[in-house]
Amino acid sequence: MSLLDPGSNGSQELVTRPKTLFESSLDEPAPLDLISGTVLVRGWAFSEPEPISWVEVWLDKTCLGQASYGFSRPDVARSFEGQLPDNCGFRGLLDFNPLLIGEGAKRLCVLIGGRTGQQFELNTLVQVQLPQHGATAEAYRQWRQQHDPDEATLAIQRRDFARLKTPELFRLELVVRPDTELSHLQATLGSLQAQTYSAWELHLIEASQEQWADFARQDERIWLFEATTTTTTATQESGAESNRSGWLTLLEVGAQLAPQALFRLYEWGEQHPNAVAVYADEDWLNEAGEPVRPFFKPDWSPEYLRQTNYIGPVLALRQEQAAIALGELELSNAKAALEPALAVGLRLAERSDLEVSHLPELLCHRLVPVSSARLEQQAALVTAHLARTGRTAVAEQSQSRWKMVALPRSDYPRLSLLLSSDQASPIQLENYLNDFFETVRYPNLELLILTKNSCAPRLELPVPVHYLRFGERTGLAAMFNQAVAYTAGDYLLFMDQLGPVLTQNWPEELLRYAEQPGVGGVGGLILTEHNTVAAAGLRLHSQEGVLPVLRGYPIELTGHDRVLRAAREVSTLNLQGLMLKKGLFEQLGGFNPFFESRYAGPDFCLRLRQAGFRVIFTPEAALRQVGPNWLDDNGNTLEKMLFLDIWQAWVPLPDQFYNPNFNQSYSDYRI
Amino acid sequence: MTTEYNFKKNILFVLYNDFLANSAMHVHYFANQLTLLGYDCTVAVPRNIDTADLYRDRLYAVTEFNRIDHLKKCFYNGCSPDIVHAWSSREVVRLYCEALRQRYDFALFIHLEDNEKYLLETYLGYSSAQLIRSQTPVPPDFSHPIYYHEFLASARGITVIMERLKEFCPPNVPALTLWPGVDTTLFAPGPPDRELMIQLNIPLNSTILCYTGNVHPANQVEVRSLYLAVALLNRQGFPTTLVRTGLNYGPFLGTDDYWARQYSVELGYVEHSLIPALLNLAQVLVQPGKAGAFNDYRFPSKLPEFLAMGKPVILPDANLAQYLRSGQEALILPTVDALQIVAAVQQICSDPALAARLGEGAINFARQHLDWERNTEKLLTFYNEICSFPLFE
Repeated sequence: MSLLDPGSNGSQELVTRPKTLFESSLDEPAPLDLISGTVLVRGWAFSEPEPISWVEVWLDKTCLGQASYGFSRPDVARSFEGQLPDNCGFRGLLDFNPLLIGEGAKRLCVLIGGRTGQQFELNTLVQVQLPQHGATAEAYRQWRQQHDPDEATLAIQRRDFARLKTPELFRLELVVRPDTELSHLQATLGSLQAQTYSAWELHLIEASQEQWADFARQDERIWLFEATTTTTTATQESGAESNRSGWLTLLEVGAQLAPQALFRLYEWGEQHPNAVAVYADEDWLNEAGEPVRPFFKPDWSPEYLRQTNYIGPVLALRQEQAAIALGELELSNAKAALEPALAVGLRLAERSDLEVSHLPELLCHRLVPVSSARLEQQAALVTAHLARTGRTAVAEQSQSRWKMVALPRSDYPRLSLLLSSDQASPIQLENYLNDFFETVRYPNLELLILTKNSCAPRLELPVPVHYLRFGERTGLAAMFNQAVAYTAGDYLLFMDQLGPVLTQNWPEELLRYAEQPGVGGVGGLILTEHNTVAAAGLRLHSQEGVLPVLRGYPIELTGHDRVLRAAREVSTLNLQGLMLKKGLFEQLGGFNPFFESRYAGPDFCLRLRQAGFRVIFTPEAALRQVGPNWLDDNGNTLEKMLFLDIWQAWVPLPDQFYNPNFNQSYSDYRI
Repeated sequence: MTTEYNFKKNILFVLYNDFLANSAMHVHYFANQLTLLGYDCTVAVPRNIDTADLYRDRLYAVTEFNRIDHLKKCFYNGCSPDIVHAWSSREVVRLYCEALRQRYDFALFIHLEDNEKYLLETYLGYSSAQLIRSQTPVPPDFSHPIYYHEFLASARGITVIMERLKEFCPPNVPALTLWPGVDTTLFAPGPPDRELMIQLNIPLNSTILCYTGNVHPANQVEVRSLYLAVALLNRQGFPTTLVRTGLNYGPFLGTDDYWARQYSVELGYVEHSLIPALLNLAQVLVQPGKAGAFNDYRFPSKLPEFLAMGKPVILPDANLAQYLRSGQEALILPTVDALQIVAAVQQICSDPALAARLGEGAINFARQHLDWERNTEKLLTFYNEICSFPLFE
């Protein structure tokens, strides 16, 4: 067999062996396609007399794994006038680590073979690029050109504002610090004066010094106060106090509002009358004053807020509702903190009954980097919040962030680990469990092994082990549902494959979140054998049902605004490594038994959310995926369609925790 | 009956599409009935006038929009239309009616059969407000977010296929709820044709569902539910086949649709007269979907035919369902999605008494409420009430 070089133009070419019929085509990737972390390989092949039995994909000298063969390709059968079989398609979405492969043009080889060793190759050139998130300066500039309102839109907003009979007042509060630079304050003021919505007042807090008095003289909407808690007397004269139905807006120094910001906040508030607070997306200004580094945020995610201060630099509160909900005193105290937006945000996070709304539009530019002193203050606020909510953790400042550090546990609730092992041989199972309990030392755990094998291995493990045997036709969801009846634990932990545990405190990390009130399900990070992300939670997708977040992303990187390092709310989770309270599982009637595959997990998580519970992803609990990603399994198509059918009202909508400003074709937070 | 009306008044129906469209069938029957009652009817279509040949029993004239200047020739008396009944408010129809207005005097009636605002927003992916603000051109097959209202306000009367469509009618324009009918000489219960089953390669032990309708973006999710239910029933060991007619405006079953197609017989466009034989193969007829901005306002054109076949019909609690008694004339479910269809089909197939009761109730409902002759009389009375000129002498 002679292998042909892909050629200088990178096009794939057919390689044939004499006396053998071999027809094939590589549909994807196209020559010189950009790939990063995953590559979709798709095509068709047919061989005679020896049928094709495997398809392997190589990128340079690295084997990425096997693609599935046998997909229906009626288009191919038609074009060969029925001489080729219908099921000659192959497909695989394969992971690789772009940091290890390296950037640039690489040879992608699809090796196709039969049982007796006959092999054929299809080659093409692809361009490997390092992972992207957010945007390059140029890409972001283009994005802004498409999304920033033009002058005509701003003119319409001014006209519409002028037509409002009783515009709601935005009372903006900005704490002036001793080190506040005049230019930063001027930038904020300039952006306010350019607003299309003019009903605002700016309260400069702790700004009694004469140096700020000029501002108040320049614009009658600007007021000076000594401190937030002592504003009562001073604000008697301001219009804000007489209109308590307006918006209290907490601003950070250096925050520059986009000209449409207040108008859009007003409109959004009209559309979301139950929202107590509204926040929006932001970006950073570079030294030249050019917007760079957008921060497109998730919808309200209290868990993410405990790890990332994402709610500022502009937080609009419905003044009256916020005061009633949080209490005048608490609101006042929170505002008095050096980080008022975060302080108020954390108070809001303590109340599951309050609606905090996210306006997914870029309404603010940040000018001032967060100082070390501010980080310290932020960490202190989070620690106080954790103590108030009874969590065994503290926030510690770490480089340019704060980090949650778990305190040692004093109690270990009973945990039932349900492990489906029907794909594994008894020896594989024994080896796996020995390794598992080398890593996992949780002291109060029982293990239930769900098997379809006739014989189970006799294991000596440090925990109670129970075997449950099921019929060949029993689906995964039905197996787990039946098995739960035999558990004694307060918490359930599901595993549908023998994925090695990578985190010593894996159960404890999951439990930290699962035991919180209001939390429905918790899942951890799943990594591929290439040390790239297989899933960091799942997001909803209109065609695919769910997509793994950050799939193909090297674990060495942190992701858009450190999403790969922070626990956060997600739309849904994998079944593998899903932990939840047993009572909750029973309350919702267990998994939907129609699911015979792992879609049972994402479906159940959505049901949890539908019932008002939060679903949390934590990167601190990591597992290794075994074999290909389950979402790529063609046998799942029927289950995927069932998932789409059940959640047809949810999946077409943008995922709440994956900002609609990101490119929705990807899950790595690129724009 | 015809003696109380004056003959020779001219009525022009204006269709938004050719005779392949479902609405064409409604226009065909109304026009035929009016002709039988002594009115001179013409149907104008934007293009493909040849498609009128699909209706071999046609009693009216047909014309294309580009023949507007020769319209008078379509009527026996060589005069212009007295009534123009625009079948929808879509741009293609509105513009043609505007052109007619430049030339002739007539009383304009408009027929509404869809939530036009929803269709426009779904197809284009923008809210009406955004479309107005951005001044996006509206394709001819949709209603314009601004001109739509002006067009309706200019009508002498509006007919709506579903009561809820009256929400879109200007308050000062009279409106009539006008249901279609069903040709019970064509759509009638009969034994399943075993030869046809064999010809279609349907396993003889298979439960058969039949869906006769096109798939387009507004209904593709609900039709997918039907395919999914059939696949799930088969997976559960309940052999089921879906017999499907109609066209697909795009793939809607995923990139690899084998999971669905292995249990379906795809017949594409099938002449209307052949549909009853296919419906008679079915044990159960399903109208998938759920209440909402799309279904609440429409009248699925296949429903009268389903009901007339005397088969158990499953349908969502939307549109026609509000006039049917669940468990008597149909099985009405809050949502007819895949899992609900699976449960309902198994329930009906395991309960022959229920199946018989539903079938009988369905056919009685069709006879009582979906009669072309009676519904045409309603339309005629509406014309008569509104037109101040002596249309009916």
